[in-house]
Amino acid sequence: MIELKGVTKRFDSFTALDNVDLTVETGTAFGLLGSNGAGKSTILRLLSGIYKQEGGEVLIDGSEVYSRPEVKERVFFINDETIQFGGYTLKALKNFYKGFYPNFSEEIFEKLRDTIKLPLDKKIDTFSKGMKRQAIVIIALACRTDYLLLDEAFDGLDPTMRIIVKRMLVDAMLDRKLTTVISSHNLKEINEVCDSVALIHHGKVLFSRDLDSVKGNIHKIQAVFPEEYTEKEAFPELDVLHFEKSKSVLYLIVRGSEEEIREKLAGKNPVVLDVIPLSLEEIFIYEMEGMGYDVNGIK
Amino acid sequence: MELYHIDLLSRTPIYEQLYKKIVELILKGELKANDRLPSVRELAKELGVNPNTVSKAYNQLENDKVIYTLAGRGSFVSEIKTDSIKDKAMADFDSAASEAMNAGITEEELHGRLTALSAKISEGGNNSDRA
Amino acid sequence: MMSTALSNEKPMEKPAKTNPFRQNFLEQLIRNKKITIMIFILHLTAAPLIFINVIANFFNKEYAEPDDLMIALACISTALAALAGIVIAINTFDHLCKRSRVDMCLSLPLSTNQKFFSDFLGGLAAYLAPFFAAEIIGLLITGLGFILCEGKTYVVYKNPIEFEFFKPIMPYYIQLIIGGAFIMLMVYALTVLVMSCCGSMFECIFYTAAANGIIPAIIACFTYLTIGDIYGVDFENSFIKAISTTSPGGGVFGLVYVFNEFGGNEATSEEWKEFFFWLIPLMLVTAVMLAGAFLLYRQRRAEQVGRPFAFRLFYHIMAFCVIFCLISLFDGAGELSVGAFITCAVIYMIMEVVANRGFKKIWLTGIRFVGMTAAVLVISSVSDATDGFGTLYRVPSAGNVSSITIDSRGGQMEDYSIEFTVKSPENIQRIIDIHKGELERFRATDNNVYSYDYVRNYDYNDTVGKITCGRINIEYHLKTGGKLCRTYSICLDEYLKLLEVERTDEYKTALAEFLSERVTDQFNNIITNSRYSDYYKFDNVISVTKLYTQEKEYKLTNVPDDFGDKLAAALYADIMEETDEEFYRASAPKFHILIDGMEVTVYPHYKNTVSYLASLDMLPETEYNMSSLKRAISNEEFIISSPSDRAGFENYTGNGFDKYSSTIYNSRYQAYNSQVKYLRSYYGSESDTIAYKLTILLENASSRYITEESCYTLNVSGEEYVIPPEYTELAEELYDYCYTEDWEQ
Repeated sequence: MIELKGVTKRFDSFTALDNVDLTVETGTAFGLLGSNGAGKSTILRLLSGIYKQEGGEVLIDGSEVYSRPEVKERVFFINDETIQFGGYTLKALKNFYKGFYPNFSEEIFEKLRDTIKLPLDKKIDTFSKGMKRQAIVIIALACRTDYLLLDEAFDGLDPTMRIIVKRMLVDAMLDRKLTTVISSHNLKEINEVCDSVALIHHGKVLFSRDLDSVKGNIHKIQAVFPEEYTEKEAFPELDVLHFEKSKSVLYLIVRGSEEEIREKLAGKNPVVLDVIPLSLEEIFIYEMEGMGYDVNGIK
Repeated sequence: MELYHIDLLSRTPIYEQLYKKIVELILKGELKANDRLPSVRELAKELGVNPNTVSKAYNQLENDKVIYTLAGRGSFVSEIKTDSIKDKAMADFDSAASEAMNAGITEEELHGRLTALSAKISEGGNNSDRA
Repeated sequence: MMSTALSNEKPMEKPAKTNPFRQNFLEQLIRNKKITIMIFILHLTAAPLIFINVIANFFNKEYAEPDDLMIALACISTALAALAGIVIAINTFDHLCKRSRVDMCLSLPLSTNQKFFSDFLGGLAAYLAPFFAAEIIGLLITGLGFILCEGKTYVVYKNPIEFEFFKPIMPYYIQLIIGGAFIMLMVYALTVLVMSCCGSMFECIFYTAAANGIIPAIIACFTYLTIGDIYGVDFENSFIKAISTTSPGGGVFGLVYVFNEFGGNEATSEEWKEFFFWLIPLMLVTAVMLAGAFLLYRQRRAEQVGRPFAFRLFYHIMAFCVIFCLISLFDGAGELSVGAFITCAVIYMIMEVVANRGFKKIWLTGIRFVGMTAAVLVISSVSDATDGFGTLYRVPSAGNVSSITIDSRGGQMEDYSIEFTVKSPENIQRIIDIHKGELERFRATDNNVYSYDYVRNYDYNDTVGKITCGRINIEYHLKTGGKLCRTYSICLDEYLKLLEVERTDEYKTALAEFLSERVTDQFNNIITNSRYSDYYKFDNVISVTKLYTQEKEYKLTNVPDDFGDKLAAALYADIMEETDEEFYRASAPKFHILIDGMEVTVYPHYKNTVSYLASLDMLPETEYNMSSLKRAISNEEFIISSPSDRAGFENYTGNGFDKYSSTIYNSRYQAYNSQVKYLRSYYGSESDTIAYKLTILLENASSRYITEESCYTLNVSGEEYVIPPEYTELAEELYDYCYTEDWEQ
């Protein structure tokens, strides 16, 4: 289990993470969403022991991570760059990591390598960009760590590779309770792969809960009311993130369960009331808008 | 395996879609009583989704007694309790019908619609189920 | 599509036993592979190649020396190989200055300590293993040299010569290997230390180079600033130790210095001692660098990579050192003007702009500059005010001194310079008194100092400096460890104390041994050389001379085989038996024995030597040869000076100058003074009288005379003698015959 308790991380005067609390249950896949620079990568780097926090606790199964090899050998971090591997051959890079991770499986590595036909003895900087990503991903999978941290790692993979990776993850989650933390902008992927998500913005966690309840907790309302309402302040009983009016139809984005919303709006006697779930992308956008990060403001 | 196709682009949570899909398959007779369902692992891999999601759907189905699990052997379709399924389907119908009526659709229009629908189903079966 | 072939992990096998420390260590070895090979090749072209060259030369040309080209190549190769350590260090620790390496390196399952040490050792192995491998090959080649050439005789111009290269070179080679290894370790450790403070590649490289230069510079400048002008302190010697052990460049200098000090044919235990006296401090300094690097490394954070400096303080220290050195240099050149400060400011400004990557907070730069400059000036002022922080007047207490090595020219040591260590408490005290006395004089005369043995001539009424009797080089060996060295030109009182030291058994024994050894060695040299040199066989290699008597010359065959031993024994006995009266009076001119150019002074009261020489009929004539004397007179070989010639000094009492000895009057003094007066005679009958009177003076002039009366002195081609008071009249008579160069009287 991963726990961040009141974690603060500063870079000089810039606070990258401000008193962050997060929990990731063992055997689940956790998605980190947020705009660029929000702090997602910082979290991943704290969990891999690259950064040391200024305040709070960064715990994996109850132990701090920084400078602790016995914890770090159970964590593999794939970042979003490949340049650092350039001088290695795949074989050399494999042997390098094999020496650090006790659960490394030569068999899995070889099977994966053979499937996607990566050459062993050519320098990785001769690979295409996609192949470079694949190289580190298959090594990561072969290391069979208990924790896998991916910083936009899926993004460079082709569909075939994606399927391979996802299947590996399924087995790992079932067989050894692999815990994954994924930072991604690809919301479709997060939707498919993750149990829970957190939305990070300016170093703070806006929300963090399992995906289904995220979706269950925000809805799009299409309604027609007998009275005319022109602004969101007309609905103080609701947590309205977005208000739009087109002729007589109101389009609202509201936080709350469907039941709650219907109950609360009953009092206004809606003529038409549709409660529609949102896609993860829409949720992301409207939550950000609620924070003042208005995409629609950019014309 | 193609039976279990779900729409990953849909806004409905995956486990919910899966649940509905399996119920649908049972109701249609594609899955019969005591048929073995794919393992969580297999289904998760096939669909490319989180196994916990599949587990969640299976757990819900089991809670609702739609399926039963034998340790080490897998999950199987329960003896169909048409009633409970029917009840649920009816409840769904109610909800959809009242929505339609709230939107201004008249009872006559609904009737006509039902007639047309049942004609279509008896002809060949309508598999599309876009929410 | 994809089957489940990639599925189902096998039931978990037992996890392999990993050794992350070892893995990282090996990784660094692999990463530096190419440089390792290059270093190996470079080292091979140094010592091993030289040895092969020598062996080849032996077989081709039959001599025991490497070609100059080989030596030059060896130096360049070794320097390059040593500098490669910087490249290795930077490569090994590049996760401190390259952003792309941070994630990969810091996410590894290693603790900070493990990462540091496995990196450090891995890179170090890549750096030193090729060195040791090459030198092992070198040692094998010396083995070959021993078998093939060493000790074999070959003939050059009909002279048989023994090939001797590997035997004498071995100890130096070993020292080179050990010393070289530690110098390289220091190169590496220093680079890692700098890297621990820096976050970008440019700063790492630049400040590594800077550190290598700044360390010796700051030591030299600080020493110069504080004790550069302190009376008695040999500025250069005082920082040689510090410089040669605190930086790699200094280390190279130190190692070469150790070799040069001795560079003889054999490395004795004394030389090994010197070697370790240099090596051990060097090792300690390296250990400090390593400790510093480690402690700083532990404080390093990933986010510091990419910034110019991880620890700004390091930069400020370096900048301060630069300013310090610049100001010291300007000060030393006497150019501490506004222009100098402006130059310093500009240089500092450039450093700041680069370090800040722009013109950020210029006003802070200005404040810092002013502050640093002020600090330097304050240090300088305080140092001046306290006479180099008390260095000037520091005299160790007798209780803290275990021995003192002195080297002076004075007394019996006029003709020889021997280094002599006193250990007896009385002598220690005497020398401390000499030291104190000289400092007293210095303080009393308002810190006038005239170094070296010449005196400026001032108007009579001016306070003059001092008249020196001799130099003394004092080296205290302290019980607390360490040495204190001073050099002074001392005046009469101190000089007399020095003479007291020379009268002690301690000194007499040392001098006697020194002399007799020199004599035997020199004589044996002649015998050895005569085996294959015609010159030594057939020419006059021994002579006895006295002022203007016939020089007696002898071939090797003219003297008995045990001449050297017997002469040595005689001298030994004479020195031990010499009485105080004889010593202080040293009357009648001495004569000299020359053994192949080495001069031995024999005083007439050296009974044993005189009688031994007499037994061989080798004594110089006691009668002066008139004609050669007259010739010498006309050659202006004789200078007589009266007390009045020592203008300003005959009345000088400022420093208790009421006794004097002849040795204080040396020719340079004379030359500075009024015109010297040469004895001349042009008239036939007069020339006889003059010559006759001169012989009396010559017979009775003293090399050393201590009296309260003013005396005439006689200078014979640079050798100074005092004419005792009882012969003053005679001297006066002769003085009338003295003329200046322009024939003025």
